[in-house]
Amino acid sequence: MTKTIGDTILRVEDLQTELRTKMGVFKAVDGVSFTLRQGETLGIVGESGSGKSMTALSLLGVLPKPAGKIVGGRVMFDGQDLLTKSEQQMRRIRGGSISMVLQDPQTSLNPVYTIGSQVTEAIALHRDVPRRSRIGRAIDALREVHVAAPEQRVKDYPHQMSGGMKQRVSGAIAISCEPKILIADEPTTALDVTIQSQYLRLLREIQDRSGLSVIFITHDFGIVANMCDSVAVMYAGRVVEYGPVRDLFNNPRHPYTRALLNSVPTMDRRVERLYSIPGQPPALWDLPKGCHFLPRCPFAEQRCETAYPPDIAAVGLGAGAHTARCWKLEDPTW
Amino acid sequence: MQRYLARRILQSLITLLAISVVVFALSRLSGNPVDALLPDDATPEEAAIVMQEWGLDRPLHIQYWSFLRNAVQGNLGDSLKWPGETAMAMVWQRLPATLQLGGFAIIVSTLIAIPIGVLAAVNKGKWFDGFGKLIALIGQAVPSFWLAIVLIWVFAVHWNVFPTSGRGGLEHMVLPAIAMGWYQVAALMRLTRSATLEVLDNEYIKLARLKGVPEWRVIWVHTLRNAAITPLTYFGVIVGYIFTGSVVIETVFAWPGTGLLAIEAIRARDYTVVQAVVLTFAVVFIVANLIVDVLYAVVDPRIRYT
Ligand SMILES: Nc1ncnc2c1ncn2[C@@H]1O[C@H](COP(=O)(O)OP(=O)(O)O)[C@@H](O)[C@H]1O
Ligand SMILES: [Mg+2]
Repeated sequence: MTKTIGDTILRVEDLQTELRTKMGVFKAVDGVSFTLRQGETLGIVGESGSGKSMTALSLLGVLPKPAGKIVGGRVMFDGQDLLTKSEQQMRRIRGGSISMVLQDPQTSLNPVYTIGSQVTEAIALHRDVPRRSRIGRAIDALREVHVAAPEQRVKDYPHQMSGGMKQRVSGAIAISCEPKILIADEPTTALDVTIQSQYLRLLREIQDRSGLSVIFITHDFGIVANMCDSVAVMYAGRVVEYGPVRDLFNNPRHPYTRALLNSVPTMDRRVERLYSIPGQPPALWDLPKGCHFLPRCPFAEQRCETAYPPDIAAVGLGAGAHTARCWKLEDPTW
Repeated sequence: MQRYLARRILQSLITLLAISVVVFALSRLSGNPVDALLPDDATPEEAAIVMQEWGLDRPLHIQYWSFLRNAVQGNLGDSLKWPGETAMAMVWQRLPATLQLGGFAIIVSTLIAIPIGVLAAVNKGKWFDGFGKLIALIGQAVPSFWLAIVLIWVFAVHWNVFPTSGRGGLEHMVLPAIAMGWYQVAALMRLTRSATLEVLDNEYIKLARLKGVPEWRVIWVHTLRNAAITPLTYFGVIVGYIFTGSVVIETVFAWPGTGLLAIEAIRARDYTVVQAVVLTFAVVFIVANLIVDVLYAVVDPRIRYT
């Protein structure tokens, strides 16, 4: 892999997103921070429900209505805080500078509109392309994600396509306006193994060509190792460990990361709940007082019960640092 | 698409045939039609002569066959009450008035119900949603004849802003259309609201927002086209309600349509005219459903391609 990583283009600081549900009000994203550089691929890893999707949606300000609300933090992009932007300004960012491919390809295309109209809609919104040339641009985008015979496919409806094909179309929509950042939410859960590896190859190919930065959301550490430059591990709405992928793999510091790495499945990666970590993630509306991982942690101690641990540097400081939120990092022997 | 349409048309014809059997059977079950034709003191011999004249002594299936053959040609016999008029001619005379009022009621109810339903869903739990619920509650709780009387009393008698009855311009249609349509508004609105809520939850709506589609377009283009499928299915039912409801409403407002004709014919025991009205309603209902099926396919490509 020969790619160059440039300057920081996205800096997320202490992002907090609240959800009001029947269960209660809770923070689905609680103080998440990370940076993304040009051309970098950041993996966000964690069990289902840990707040990965909610983090991504918060960046773009597309939260479940009326339950979701961003209550704190900054999202610095292009020198500006996206959280202070108006809805109208955000619309220009969404799909234009930052685009996202959703988790389930089966349901993420509108069943009553043609593929062509769904791709051209994005182009019409973000690029100054005359009406007649838009369909050509859409066909180009479809070709770029290796949809066969795109001139024909633009007239099709989603129900006429396979799941893998729909995912490519979602990909085409996402890249059709040449964004700077692409967020791919669990691109592998809904598909079979061959199609997922094709899709991952495609993502890499697009990235190599365009220097795009990618946020890659997954629960699968195996894929992270192949795809990502850095990783943020999420647990119960917080980033518990963050650092360059090699560091994190060679020297995982958080017990949760260790557990995840130990349970990386080898053969069939599609099943979500493969982790052999005993216990369940805590309910977000009913979190334990100290460390949220405490009930499942084999290394739990007294201090873990009293307070949630701060970010502690494992290696280095600033960009490229490796940090984890565990009291154990204070021990020289850990 | 063609296959889908052909199938629907065939189904409609079969339905129509079934209705013709029912109508025919009912006219025979509701007593001997000869009784209506003869004076009370007629002798059995006289009755037999009339029976023969009208072909009523022939076996039932033969009678049905000739009834059907005539009906297909639009011939449903002569009116018993209004001499010199055929039953069909009576219906044709009155049908435009009913179509006018019914059509007006349907169009206006739809134009009111769909936007309110969508906005109620978008503003779920807020005051507008409550307002929508109130409208629906009134529409579904208040019987249309009672609503009609209240409307006449308030707006025609007390304030004198609309005429009490009769056929005429737009001002004549307002009160009967409200009386007829309120229930439909309620039903359509609730259907639209729940369909919209369901569609809004979809990933493709999230994706539309993530593409940067403006919110009005997310609602009125991406959501509505999908949400419209459920209320559309209900349209055939609405046409049925409006037509059967016309019997009551046209009577209250003295609106000279087929509904009023039905009442007049029933009172006069003019069974050929009643038959003609019922068959006409059935045809209108079936045609309306056929139109709905076509629209259904236009709106939803998944139907078109099966
Ligand atoms: N539309 C929603 N309404 C209410 N709660 C939600 C909604 N979507 C997600 N959540 C909750 O937010 C939390 C984080 O979810 P999510 O970000 O989707 O997790 P992940 O993507 O890591 O699997 C979960 O507890 C989930 O139950
Ligand atoms: Mg998710």
